Amino acid sequence: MYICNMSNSKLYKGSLNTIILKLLNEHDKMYGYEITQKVKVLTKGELNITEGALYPALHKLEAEGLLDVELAKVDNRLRKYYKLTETGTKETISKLNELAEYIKTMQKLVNPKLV
Amino acid sequence: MKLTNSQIQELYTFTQKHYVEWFDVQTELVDHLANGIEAQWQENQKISFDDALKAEFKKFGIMGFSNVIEEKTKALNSYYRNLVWTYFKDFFKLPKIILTLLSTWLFFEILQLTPNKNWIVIPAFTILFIVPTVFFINVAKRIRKTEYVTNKKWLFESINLQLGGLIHILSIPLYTGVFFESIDKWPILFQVICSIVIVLLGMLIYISIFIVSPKLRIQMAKQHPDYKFV
Repeated sequence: MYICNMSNSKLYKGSLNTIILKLLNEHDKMYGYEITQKVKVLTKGELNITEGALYPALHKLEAEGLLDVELAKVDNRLRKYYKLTETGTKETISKLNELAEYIKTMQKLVNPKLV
Repeated sequence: MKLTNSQIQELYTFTQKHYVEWFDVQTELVDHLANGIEAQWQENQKISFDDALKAEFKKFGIMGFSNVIEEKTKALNSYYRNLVWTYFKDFFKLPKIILTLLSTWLFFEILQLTPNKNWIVIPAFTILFIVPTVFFINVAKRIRKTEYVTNKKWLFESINLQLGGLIHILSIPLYTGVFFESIDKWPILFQVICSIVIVLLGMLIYISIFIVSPKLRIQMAKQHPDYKFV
């Protein structure tokens, strides 16, 4: 039930927070449903963030002070938007660097000729 | 095709039937379900509201909304405790550390000067028990009143009521009365420890009840237009 359609979902579990932070870094503010759809579009349906995983992750990031929340009335309902706080922006950079390093290391292991 | 007001209300009822009784959690789930249903209607207008809702709910997995509530509660509790910890640490930095040390020393001196230490310690622990109890009763009343007037319950108020889980630590004074009554000798070290514990507990109660809880309410009022102080 985690975040993926691909064959090995375990590989992506640890990246959920980074994905959310990265998306929010590129957009001023986003709401839950929008995040799931954006990931689907960007990965051409390869990665599917499930609702049961997304909201706990968003709430955790909010509690850690990385996300700020804004409520707005859209159509006939309330919508909760998330945006990065200053700490969240710093954390995004650090998480992305961490991920890039990890990918580089994995590349060395999996495909040493390319590195 | 967009959802009507009555369908939005149906979604609120749906979340309630699936054990989401908190309005601050329901709001986000209702918007999510509504977006999903409207997206389905964009592709096929013939799908009924009920079928579209079923399909959207299925996406939350076999646990339904329970995982979302559980994690949201955990996150809010940890947010509350982190805030308390931040203010607590301030009492060990200048200038507040002077107040911390001074109160501890003052309490210790009073203990030393009093022949029967229980005259000081038991009332001190009683006060430390009464203050959170009064707070607890007031918040519980407010929750009931809010629910009665607005028909809404708020998860953050429930977190406030339990002081982010700290209520368990703050119930320590409840058990101390019996313990101290059975003590005859009061060595200096014991008096020092007792003074430190009382001052630390007092600080914890003060920070939770008079700083963090009101701060959380103000934050919620800013964030949620529907939250009004009753």
